[in-house]
Parts: sequence; C-alpha cells; structure tokens
Amino acid sequence: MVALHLSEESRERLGKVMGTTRDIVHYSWIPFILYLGWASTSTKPNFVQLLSPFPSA
Amino acid sequence: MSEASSSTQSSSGFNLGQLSKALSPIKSLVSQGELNKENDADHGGFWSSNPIFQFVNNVATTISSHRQSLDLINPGTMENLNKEVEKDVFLTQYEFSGLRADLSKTFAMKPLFQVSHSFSTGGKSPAYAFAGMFASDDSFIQGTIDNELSLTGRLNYAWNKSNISKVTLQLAAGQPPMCQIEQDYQANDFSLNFKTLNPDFSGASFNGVMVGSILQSITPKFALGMETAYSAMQPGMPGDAGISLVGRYNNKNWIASAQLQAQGALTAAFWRKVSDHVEAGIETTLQASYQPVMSSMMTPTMQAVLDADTTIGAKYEFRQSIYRGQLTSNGVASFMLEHRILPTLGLTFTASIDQLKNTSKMGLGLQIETAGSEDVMMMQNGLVDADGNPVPGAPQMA
Repeated sequence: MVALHLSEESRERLGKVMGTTRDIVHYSWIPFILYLGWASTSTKPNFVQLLSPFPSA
Repeated sequence: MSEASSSTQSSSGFNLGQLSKALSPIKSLVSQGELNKENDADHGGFWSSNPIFQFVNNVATTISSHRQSLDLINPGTMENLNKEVEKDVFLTQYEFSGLRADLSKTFAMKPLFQVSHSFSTGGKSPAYAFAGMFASDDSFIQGTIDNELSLTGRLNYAWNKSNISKVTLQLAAGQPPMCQIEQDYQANDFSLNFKTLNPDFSGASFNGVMVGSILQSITPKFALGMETAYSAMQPGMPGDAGISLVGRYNNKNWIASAQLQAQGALTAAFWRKVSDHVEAGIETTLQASYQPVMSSMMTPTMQAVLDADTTIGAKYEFRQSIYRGQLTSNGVASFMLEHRILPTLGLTFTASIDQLKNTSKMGLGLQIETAGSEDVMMMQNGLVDADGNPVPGAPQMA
C-alpha cells in the first residue's frame, strides 16, 4: 500500500490541519446548504423565515 | 453471413458473428468481404494503416459492436442489489419507537430547497434535529445536525450522466469522525464503484477501508458482480482483504439476488410483484462462523456454527397509504402504516413484537409539510404541478 513516510513533526502538523478542517466542515455544512438554497430561490427568504418551521407565504 | 459463421451458430447456439472473423489470426481463413468494406474508410493515417493497429482496432470495434448487439442494460448499482426487498418491502429501515414529529418547509421545487425540524421522544433518535437539503440537476447536498451537535452530511455531484461522486460525513464531538468518499460509474452494461472510508496515507502504511466493486450484465436480465474490500483499521495491525460474489436476475415482475460474502455469509433474496399494488419479498441469510462453545466436558472448544435467518414481508400500496408487514424466523412480527391524511399532513404508525423475548415497541410519527413561498404552497395544495402549470380541474386562485 502507498504510504507517505512523513516525519513525526509533519504528521503532527497534518493532524492539526485535519482537526481544524473537520471543525470548519462540522460547523459550516448546514450554513452552506442554507446559503445555497437561499441563493437559488427567487423569494430570498429572511433568516427567521428560513429557520422557523411555520409557513411563511 | 458466411458459411463458417452460420455453422458456428447452429452447432453452439451462440453467435460470435464478426468476432470470430476478427479474432482469427490469419485473415484469409475466413471470408473477408464485409470486413474489408468497413475498413476501406479508415485507410490513411498511421494509426489505422499499420497492420498491427488495424487488427487491434478491428477487434475492438467488433467486440464493442457485438456487445451492443446483445441489448444489455445497466444492472443497477451494487448498493441496490436487493433494494426491492430490503428497502422497498421490508420495514426494518423505517422502524422507530416513541413519538416523532417532522416539520418540513419547502422553499422551492426547482432546484429543490427544503429545511426540516424533527422532534422525537421516547425512542433512540435525538430529541431535536435540524436538516437542510438542496438538490439541483447535477448536485445534491444534505445535512442533519442534532441537539448534541453531531452532524450527518451527504454530498453528491454528477459530473455527467454516468459519473457520480459522493461524500458522506459523520462528525460528532468527542467521537472519531467518519468520512466516506465514493465514485460511481454507470456504463451501458456495467457499473463500477470505488469507495474509501476514513483513508489515511500519513502513517507507515495505509489505514482505512477501500472497496471496489463491479456489476456486469451478462444477459439483458442476468447480472454478475464482484466486490473486493481491504480494511486496515488499527495502525500496526495487518489489513484484511476479502472478495464477495453477487448475482442478480431481474425478470420485471420478479427479482432474485444472491450474495456470497468473504466472511462466510450467504444472502439470498427474492422479490415479486404480486399485483399492481402488492409486492412481496423474502430474504435468507446463512452465516457460517467459528466460535468457542462449551463441550460436554465443560472445556471450551472451537466449533463451526451455522446461523440462519429468514425474513418474509409484504407491502400494500393504497391510494393514500402504504402498509408493510414482516415476519422473521427469530419470532419478530412487525408492521407499519403510512397514511397521508391531507396533501400536507402524514401519519406513520409502526409496531413490532418479539414473540421469543417477549418485548415490543411502538412508534407514532407525524409529518407536516409547510411552504416557504406562494408557488410551493399552491403546489402542496394541488393547485399547480411541479412546473408551475395549473392542474386541470383544480379550483383556481383569483
């Protein structure tokens, strides 16, 4: 199998980068979906309309 | 057709046609009339005039034209091998316990944009979950986050009609993350799938799971496939590899599939459309394993153990409701009723009883759909269809 043979230091750095990426993905995934959806609708619902479960039309 | 090929056809019942001629090393052995006519056009460039490449090109075109003459269709994906039984008829996937309410709000239909809030109590699902979904022609992105901040995400992107990339994520605070990257390729008569789970190349050796599978149509109804998996989950430990073999026969109103897994499990499933609204399915799993058992002398010995499980189920589809029932060989009877009371209001009831363990569980769910825009509201009430055109016969708004 392929292996990169990284040094201990760079492995540690890679681990930190992966951890930060994970946190960014964790907390931006849902906002990203909401942004994509908001940008695609013609009505451009506001923040409260977007998050409330009640009908807004 | 020449004499040679017609005699082959009658003797073996299998028509190799042009293939036999192209594969023949000495061209004069078989009549060349048709072959020469086809090739006259490409005499010219180096790549087609060179006799070796000409031969290779010939073989390639005859194989592909022969393959097209077989009228094969795409066999579907490995994931959906026994979809009709496990995902359509059986209710195991949809079962829940306790009370549940889903309030989903649709903002647009094209592209689809929907958010939903789920509340649950008394069951295993989290008390509150928020989900968002966006789907356009080529991409699909979905995410669910619950009150414990654990996220489940899914992203599909279709590069073209036959190539789809998929990413599945599961992130929870204090738990190892799960990330699966998948590539699906669906050609005219076969499907390829590669996926990897938590790949890590940074260590001394690869760490994670890799799976590759192919499913190939042999006849228009019959498909055979193979899956290879390599998994190395613990660093320093050698990885495991295994091959699974699968087969699927689809005869429109009945489908049979079988799967022989590397760990020694054999799964066979049969699905049948009984009538327009009734489907039935049965699935049997045989699992052979090597386990320690107490012998009569009270000393633990290793012994081969064969476990078998059978599930039989049926699904009835009515105009406004779906009813599913199933019975397993270990004594669990369960049923589920999904009923749409209004176009925007649905009710789900599920119950199961384990006769041998004397336990039971029950679930009641409510699905409410609301609209985030006027267009969607008109559609949900049956006034316009998904394209925004008025539905004939529906009362029109002033």
